[in-house]
Amino acid sequence: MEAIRNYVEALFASLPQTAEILRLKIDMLAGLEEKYNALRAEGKGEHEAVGLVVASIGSADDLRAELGLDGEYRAAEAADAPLPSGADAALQAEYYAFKSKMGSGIAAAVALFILSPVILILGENAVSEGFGMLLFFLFIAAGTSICIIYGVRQEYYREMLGLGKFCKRNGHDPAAPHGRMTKLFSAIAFPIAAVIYLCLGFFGGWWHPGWLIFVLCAVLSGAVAAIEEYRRN
Amino acid sequence: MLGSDVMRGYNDMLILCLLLEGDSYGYEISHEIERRCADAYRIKETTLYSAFGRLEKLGYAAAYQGSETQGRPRTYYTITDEGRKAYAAKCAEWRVLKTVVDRFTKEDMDHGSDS
Repeated sequence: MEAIRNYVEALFASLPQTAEILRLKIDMLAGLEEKYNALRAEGKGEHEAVGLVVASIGSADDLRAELGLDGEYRAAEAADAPLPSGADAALQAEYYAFKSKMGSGIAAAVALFILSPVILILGENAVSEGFGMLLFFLFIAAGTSICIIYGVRQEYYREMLGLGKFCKRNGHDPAAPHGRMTKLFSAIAFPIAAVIYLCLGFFGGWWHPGWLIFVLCAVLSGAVAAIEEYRRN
Repeated sequence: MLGSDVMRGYNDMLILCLLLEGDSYGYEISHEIERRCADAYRIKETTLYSAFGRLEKLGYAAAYQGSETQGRPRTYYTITDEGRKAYAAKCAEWRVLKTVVDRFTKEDMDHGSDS
């Protein structure tokens, strides 16, 4: 029953959460539960019953078409979307669970990025010079690793589920590793940082704390990428 | 097995027909359609439940909460007078449609068409 519930959740995940659609989902879940119980009472095995119920649900495309929500996403091959098989449904459920985990993961990464300068200052002052720096880089490394790991996993799910074939109307490529905002930010921020760094060094003699500006740039760029990535999904 | 695109436009009629025989709820209707159509047609759950919302919005059916079964209150549907009229109109439409398509249906096409 859990697999069926996950499948239905995944099916509705991309739809607007209006009261009408929420009721539709609840009624549908109740009906599917009855169907599942009836199949089990007929003597069907657990997996067979789940398979039969899931096969009778229909696809997300069907649901969108029925509700007249076709405009938001456009399937490359709208002609005949294949019925999701049992394996697809399980994967879809897994992807849905992963997506909520990814949300908290990205949030944690952004928190790490934001906290990293704080820990740098605290560490330098409270423990010893160098210790704060070490913690600072550990935080950045941890945050970046989280982003990369989730990014790679998400790419995998999207590929397995054929989600790459779906593109949003504004036509940006979901497979591109970085969004426009990130690219633009990096392109502008790093040259400016270099100029400021050189000015600080030559005119003020502040080579030492001055170099931190590059770190700041990297942090901000990472944060921009994370936010953009999260908003895109 | 009929595809869902062939049956589009007639799903509402199927549901109204069953509601005409008595108030009912999601699973019962889905089960009854499956039983009557045998293997010729099976309504998808997404189609069925979004049809309920549509019928309600059009005023053809009204929903009410039934008694709880296994902890969940069932949503029952009952047909309205508007729904009866719509069903009658759909039946009339089908009779015409049937004669029209019949006129283009050849009986001796056993060896496959050559379209």
